[in-house]
Amino acid sequence: MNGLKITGLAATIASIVFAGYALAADGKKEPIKPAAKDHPLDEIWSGYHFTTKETKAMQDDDFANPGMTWFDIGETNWSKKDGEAGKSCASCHKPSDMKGVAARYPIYDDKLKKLVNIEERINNCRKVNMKAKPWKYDSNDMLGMAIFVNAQSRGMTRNVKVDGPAAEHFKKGKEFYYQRRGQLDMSCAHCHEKYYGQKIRMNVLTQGQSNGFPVYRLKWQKPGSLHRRFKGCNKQVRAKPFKTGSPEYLALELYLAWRGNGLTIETPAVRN
Amino acid sequence: MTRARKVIGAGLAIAVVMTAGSSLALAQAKKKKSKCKDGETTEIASYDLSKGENLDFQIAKPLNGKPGDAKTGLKWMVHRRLGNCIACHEVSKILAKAKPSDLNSLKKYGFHGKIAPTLDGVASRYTEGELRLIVVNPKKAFPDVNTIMPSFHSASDFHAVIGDCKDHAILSADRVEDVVAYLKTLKE
Ligand code: HEC
Ligand code: HEC
Repeated sequence: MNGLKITGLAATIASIVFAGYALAADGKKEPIKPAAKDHPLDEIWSGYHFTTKETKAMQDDDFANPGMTWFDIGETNWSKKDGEAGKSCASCHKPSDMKGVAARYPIYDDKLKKLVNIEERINNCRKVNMKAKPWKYDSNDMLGMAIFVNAQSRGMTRNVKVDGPAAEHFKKGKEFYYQRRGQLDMSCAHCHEKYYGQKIRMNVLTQGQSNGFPVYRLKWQKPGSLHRRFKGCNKQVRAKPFKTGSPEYLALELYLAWRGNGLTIETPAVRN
Repeated sequence: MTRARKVIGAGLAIAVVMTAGSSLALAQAKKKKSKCKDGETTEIASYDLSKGENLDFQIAKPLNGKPGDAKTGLKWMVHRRLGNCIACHEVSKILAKAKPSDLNSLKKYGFHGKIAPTLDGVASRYTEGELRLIVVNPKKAFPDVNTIMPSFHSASDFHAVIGDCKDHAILSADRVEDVVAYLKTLKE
């Protein structure tokens, strides 16, 4: 009897606590139909779909999601002044201004005359507005801020624009995606379009979607940027990797985001 | 979004442990392993194509002029950096060698991928010369399917190959022959 009461109480506490904040990095449980007519996939699936039950449970519960430790780093840095201008992100924005950013990035920036993703935007704000040093893509500070910013768009539908000045980058990204490369002579499409859902030795291949980045990877024991993932996928076929933030990877990021238009943002997703 | 999760003060402690762990991993990664050169030549032998029975082409003669060794071939087939054939192909004869503890791991004979056809009975479907061509250059063997299978003894027209792998084949001529010798044992 006693035990029962305690369980009941715990459940009540849990429901109060959990009702207090917005949805977790909830993975999409259904596939979606691509909106674009010329889309190469019949169904679009988040990487979430292909992970194990345990990994899904980890992602669905912010208390269990190890990536949320970096969310906290980002939240702390958000209002920490840095650089010669003596400013923080909070000097110019509210966190709620970040809602929707992850869903529409990367974008073509007319002033900078280049594609800009979250990391480039953060570094540009640091450089121009804060007069602070740029962060490396996979530093804890950058991962933290990118997770904090992207997580404000959780549950929102990705919808990147690929027309106008973005079009030529989209085309380059697409070429990159279908180019065989490396000593193993494979393209992204071989693994993530032709054989997704199937096993290549220990790994179940996913569609290689980017809607959960930066993702917490159990293998890395850390979150990683999308560009780190690109390097890894290039290197595993023994191809030359590009630099994080390179025009090649930015174009690839745009093209990949388009392949996932319609997916919801899950940052920080958890992957094996 | 500021969450009650802060009650779990362990969060930061976990982060510290993880950082320590990953810097160790980093130090290990710095001892860079060469992915391609491992003391043996990986130069590409020249060979002649002739007409095949089941495929358009075959390579009738051994690349190095002598037959390979099936037992050694098995070693290359399960080797993660060299053949790694079982990353994509299931082979019942190899799986049968796995210990129960191997079956969920990358250990030697364990865990086969499934994206490619099983190699069981492959010697009943192809001639020796065709098997050789499939290993050397599957793009020539299966020209119509945009195959994912790597060319194990070719490097022509490859794109953006990483430094030390450039102009090198994955398997030397000797190793190709060993693999072919093993494939020849896979009869139905
Ligand atoms: C040899 C096979 C292979 C090739 C080629 C390959 N990848 Fe991957 N990729 C994987 C594996 C294995 C994983 C981990 C499991 C998964 O998510 O598919 C992965 C994961 C990813 C992920 C993470 C997905 C997630 O949900 O976390 C992205 C993004 C990705 N790949 C993009 C690419 C791009 C872009 C290319 C081409 C430049 C590429 N991959 C080439 C095998 C490959
Ligand atoms: C990355 C995946 C991959 C790897 C690694 C791989 N293969 Fe294949 N292989 C394939 C695929 C896929 C096919 C079928 C042709 C196609 O659809 O592309 C194939 C076909 C074959 C066939 C013909 C099978 C049949 O019944 O038609 C043989 C023989 C073969 N491979 C042998 C090997 C050997 C030996 C190795 C290692 C030295 C190897 N493969 C490594 C993917 C792979």
